[in-house]
Amino acid sequence: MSWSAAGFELLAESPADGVTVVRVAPESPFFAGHFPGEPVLPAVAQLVLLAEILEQRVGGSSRITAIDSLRLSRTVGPGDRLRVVLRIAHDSDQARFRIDRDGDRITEGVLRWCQTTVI
Amino acid sequence: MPDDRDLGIAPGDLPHAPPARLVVRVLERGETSLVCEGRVPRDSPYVRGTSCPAFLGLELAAQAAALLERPTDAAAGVTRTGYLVRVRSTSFRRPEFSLDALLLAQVRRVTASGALIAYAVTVRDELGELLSGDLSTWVVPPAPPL
Repeated sequence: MSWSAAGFELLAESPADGVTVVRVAPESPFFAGHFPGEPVLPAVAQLVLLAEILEQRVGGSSRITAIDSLRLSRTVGPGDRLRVVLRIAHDSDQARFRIDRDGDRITEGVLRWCQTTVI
Repeated sequence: MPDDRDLGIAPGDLPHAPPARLVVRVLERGETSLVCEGRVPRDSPYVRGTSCPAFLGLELAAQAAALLERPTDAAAGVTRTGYLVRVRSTSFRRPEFSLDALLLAQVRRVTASGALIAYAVTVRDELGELLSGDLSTWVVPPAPPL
C-alpha cells in the first residue's frame, strides 16, 4: 500500500534514526465511519502505518505476526502530524515503536514481524 | 449448517458507520462474554486486492467489546463511547484473511477497573483461528444531563 493510498502524507524520513514523520490526510479513508461527526483514526490504521514503515525499512515483503504490547494514550484526528520512531531489533523478531504528536506520546509498544517469501 | 441466530444491534449500540462497522450480527451475549459475526465491507480502506491484514480482526474484537458493554447503558437510555487503549500478547496466525471471509469474534471480560475494561479475545474465519490475545478499552463516562 502506498503512503497516499493509506491516507498518510510522508513529510520526512530518517531511517538511520528510525524516524518517519507523516501527516494524516484530512480526507484519509480511515476516518470514513469512524466516527460520524467525530473523526478518530482507528488504532488498526496506526498498525497500517507501522506495517508500511516496516516494509520500507526491511525491503521486500514483511508482515506483523504479533503484538506484544500496544498502548494508545491519545486519539489521532484529521491533519495531525505524527512522528513515528520504529526501532527494529537486530537479534530478534521484535520492533519497538512510539508515535508522538507535538511531543506528546500517542502510541507505543512492541510488535513482532517476519519477512515473507514469494516463491 | 447456516447459523441464523441474531440478537440484534440497536441503533446507537455502536458509533461506527460503514465502512468502519465490521460487526454484522450478535450471536450470543452473556453477562461477561459476547460472540458476534463480522465481515469487512468491500469499500473498506484496509482491503488490499482480495484480502485484509489479520490485525484488522482487532477492530472487530473491539467492536464486539463495545457491544458487550452496551445493554445496560442502552436500557438506561445512555450512550457511552469506548476507545481501544491497550493490546497485549496478541498473535496473528496468518498474515491476512479473505475479503469474503465471515469472521467470528469472541470477547470475554476478564477484569474491569473503573473505566478500564480488559478482555480476552479470539477471531476466527473459515480456515480457523486468525488471532488471539488481550485488549482493553476505556469507556468514557456518559455526560451528565443538561
